[in-house]
Amino acid sequence: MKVWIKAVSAIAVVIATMLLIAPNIVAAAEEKAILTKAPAVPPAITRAGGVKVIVELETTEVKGALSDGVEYEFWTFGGTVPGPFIRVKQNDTVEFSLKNNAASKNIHSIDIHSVNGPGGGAKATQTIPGGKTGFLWKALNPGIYIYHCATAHIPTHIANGMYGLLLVEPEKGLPKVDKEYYVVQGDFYTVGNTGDKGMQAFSLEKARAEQPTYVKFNALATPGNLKANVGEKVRLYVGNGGPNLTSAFHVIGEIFDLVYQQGAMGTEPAKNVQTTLIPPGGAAIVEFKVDVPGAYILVDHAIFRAIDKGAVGILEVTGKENPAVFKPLK
Amino acid sequence: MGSWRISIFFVLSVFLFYGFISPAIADETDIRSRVPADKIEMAKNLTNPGSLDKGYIVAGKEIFMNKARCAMCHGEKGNGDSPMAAAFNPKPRDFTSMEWQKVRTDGEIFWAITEGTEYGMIPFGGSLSEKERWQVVNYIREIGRLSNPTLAKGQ
Repeated sequence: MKVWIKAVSAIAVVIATMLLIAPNIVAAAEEKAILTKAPAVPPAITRAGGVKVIVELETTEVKGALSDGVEYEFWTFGGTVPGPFIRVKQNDTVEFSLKNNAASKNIHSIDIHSVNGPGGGAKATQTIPGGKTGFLWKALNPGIYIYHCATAHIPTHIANGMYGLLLVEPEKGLPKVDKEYYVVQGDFYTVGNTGDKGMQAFSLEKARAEQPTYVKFNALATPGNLKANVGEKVRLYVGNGGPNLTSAFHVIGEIFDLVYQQGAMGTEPAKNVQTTLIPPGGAAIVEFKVDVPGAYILVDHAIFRAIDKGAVGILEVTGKENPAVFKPLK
Repeated sequence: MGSWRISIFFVLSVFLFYGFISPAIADETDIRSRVPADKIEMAKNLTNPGSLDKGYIVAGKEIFMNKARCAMCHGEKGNGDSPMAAAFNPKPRDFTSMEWQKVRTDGEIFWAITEGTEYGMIPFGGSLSEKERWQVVNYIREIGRLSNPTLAKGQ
């Protein structure tokens, strides 16, 4: 055999071998998780699980608007309420680190509900201002999970906005949809009454009595409506940071085609649901196809919380009218 | 039922309700150790490497007031009184208490700083070095001495 044929054959064998082992190289690789601010959701993970994923969050204490003219000092993960959406795949190993901004007045930490380990990481992440802590954990169970601060006095930290969602995508991924959004409900307790203007302090007394002055979706997040086009399938990841109220989550004018109740995966989702319960420290995934244009209002259907205390969001659906499904009569 | 039987029944009912069934009401003068029973001997035997070192006290004060934000719960005076303290039951420790200072060993204080307690004390084992935690112990002792001149004379 001529030398050049031998050389080409050898190169071909090397390339073929590399292609064969490439998936394993990828699986052994390391990647940084894409984190998004509510209501945005990171893109679906198309690779297999088993990758080492780097996740870093920073706790901060920031002033923001709780309502029109009502200021509040939120305690946050990443400067927003809820904190960033974290998306990993089942069997990934997560190298998680928590920084506490040097300007924080308080120590902060995290309990991630998808973690199998003491305190969900709480003891390993008690972080002083200016400090950094971390831990490694394996995403064994698929589902949508709350994370929250777990530093004493824990209820106060949660009441001030320290929570967010983490999705562990199942090995085969989730079915494709057209739009995904991230919404978290929280109840807030101010010394002043609902609507009292100016800077409002946290009321321990009202929090203990479970009498919130505000109930909010995405209390300190990117402003604006959720958007979809007629005919699209929408998936909402809905969490409840609490600390006290159980949400009766409903979208006015829609029926959930599917609900992963309590964020559970591996079982058949519930079908054709009008309102779904989401407890504090819990989450659910709801999916529905939008058939008719218009404004669809997200509410906690314990309706005083929506109309009087702020638990309202809007999904704006645009496109052609669909009189076969809905038509006002003249 | 005779009236004396009714009285006994009433007294027993009250005793059972308040003595056993009602939730524990924290006593702020309770100076019992918050180190778990199975760890207390080990904790008591820990040796303070810098108990006579003034530098430890100065450094410990800086950590107490700023770096570790101990004062957020224990108060700037270390007397367990702060806006945040209202949220805790039992309240954060009052380090000015002579009774508490007398019965508590340095090792127990170090253990509580390191591991935290089930009563709300945050574990600092991961965020302060061993030396820094001993420095805080020594500053807590200094709070006791400054608040109780008789305690200072005894040392």
